[in-house]
Amino acid sequence: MSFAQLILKNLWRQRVRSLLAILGISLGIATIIALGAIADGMEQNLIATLRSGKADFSIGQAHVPMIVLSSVPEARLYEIARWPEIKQAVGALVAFASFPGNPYFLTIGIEPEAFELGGVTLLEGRAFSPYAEDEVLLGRIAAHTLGIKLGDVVEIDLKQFRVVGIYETGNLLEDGGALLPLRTLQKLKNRPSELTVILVRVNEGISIEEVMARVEREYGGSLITLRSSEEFNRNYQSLSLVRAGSWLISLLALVIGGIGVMNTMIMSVFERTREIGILRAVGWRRRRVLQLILGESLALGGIAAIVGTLLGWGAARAVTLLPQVRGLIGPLYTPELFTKALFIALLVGVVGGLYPAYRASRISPQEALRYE
Amino acid sequence: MNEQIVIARDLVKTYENGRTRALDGVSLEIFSGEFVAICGPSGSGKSTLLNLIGALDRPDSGELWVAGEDLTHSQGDLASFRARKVGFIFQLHNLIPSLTALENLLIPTLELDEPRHKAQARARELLERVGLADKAHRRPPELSGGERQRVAVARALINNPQLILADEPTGSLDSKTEKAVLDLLREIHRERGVTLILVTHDARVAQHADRVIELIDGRVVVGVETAQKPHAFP
Repeated sequence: MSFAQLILKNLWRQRVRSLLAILGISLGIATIIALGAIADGMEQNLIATLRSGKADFSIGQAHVPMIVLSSVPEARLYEIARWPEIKQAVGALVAFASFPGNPYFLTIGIEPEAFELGGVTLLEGRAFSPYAEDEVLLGRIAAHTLGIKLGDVVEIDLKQFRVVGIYETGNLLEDGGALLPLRTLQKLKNRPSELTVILVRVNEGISIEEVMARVEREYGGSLITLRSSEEFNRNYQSLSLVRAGSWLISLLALVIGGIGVMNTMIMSVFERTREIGILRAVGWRRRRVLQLILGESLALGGIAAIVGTLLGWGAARAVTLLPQVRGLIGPLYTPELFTKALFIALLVGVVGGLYPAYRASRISPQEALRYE
Repeated sequence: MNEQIVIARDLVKTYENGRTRALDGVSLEIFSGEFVAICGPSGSGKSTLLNLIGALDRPDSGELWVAGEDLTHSQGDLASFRARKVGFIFQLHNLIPSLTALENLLIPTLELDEPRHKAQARARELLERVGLADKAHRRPPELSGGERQRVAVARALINNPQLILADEPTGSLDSKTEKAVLDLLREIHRERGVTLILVTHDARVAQHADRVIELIDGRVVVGVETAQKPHAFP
């Protein structure tokens, strides 16, 4: 029997109590995993929404909390498009619109010539004509989940459009939305001459970095250039609210789980006063007793990390199957998320076990042995 | 001539902020390899004395040297002294009920830096010595009173201590089992040359020892040698 085996034996002895403590922490961990994966998934979709296709980089408004709130004057597009190092520059307007059955329906105003740069692939039908006021392309997922076919009429922001094509970009949010001619969306949203992003492709042999640097130099303070999702994260704290909420829940899980573990371990130490006295009498140092109790609470945290991860994965999966959010939510499981969950679970174990372990280590052997 | 393994001078130990004087100036010497019984009525301070010798507690005043260690003035945790120098046997076996006999024996070895398989081998050997090789995987509730006390004897020996301290080791046993356990203690004392100090209120039990130290009201009344004296002591 090793020290580690002794720790597990002690937990197994009080299996119901251990199980309840594990369940307490697991629920917190499950919440962290489920919410975290959903938030990460949403964030990835938002990132990819404006950074897809064959563009080398994109340009957005500086100092806005969410990229959807970015506003770039269309005049910038024409200025930049004239630069000799630019092969192609196109603009897109991104906005949420009302759509029956989906309150967060993503609409993107874009010209057909920009499809390639935006990564849009037509699956069925044809592209709209640039100035058509009643034509729309529907995303693959939107068409599938809403049961809409080519030629159907849909209502966007209370205005009727005919579906002339079905497209795919590979992005969950985009494929759950619709593409409209840029002018039509600008008019519908009452945002004339306004863009959300400019997508840029540079000429062969031209350094992308140098062009990006020029944009920053000439429009520094008002525009920023984005190349990767990390840059996106740095520049747009788009999901800061979701992130803050996720951290708050983590903190709550830490506190509630910690109290649960502490309660379990205090009770367990109290019941084992005499046994701990024996351990001390046969030569265990205070530190060894401390390690035993702390080891037990850490093991509770470790097991809860595994159980909680499985529960959280199941919960996130269950949420994605809800018809209301289908196509909108795609949980993303990153190593960082699992690391964070494991870290929090172990932290709960340490925080909850520290005081009981300290108490146990202070038990005096000869008094404990008198204790019946 | 054997050396003293326990030297006590004017040991005083009080409880309840000095209102109860458990030991009131105890002086004694115990020699390496001796089997000594500390005898006295309940409340005479005999268990207190044993706890001091075993470094479970510290005296208020006086001098106490055990196995070369100054227990009056040493600072800090005396656990490693207990782990290496003494083995305890209590009245109630004080085994851990959720662990098997073998696992109970291994508990003190977790404090030593030695390979697990060595400790494991020693534990099996000792269980065999006390006649419980076939019950190594039984838990204390599945063992008889005498068997439990034999496990406790084996546990006291596991770290090869110089000193075995037994506090009323037969106090909860019937007379037949009592004799078996006392015989086992005597045999082990002889085989291993380990110093055995046994606390009892029962004069019959004390007769098994080489020498009896009698305590009354926290003072040594008499230290006599019994008939069973095996060696010559100075």
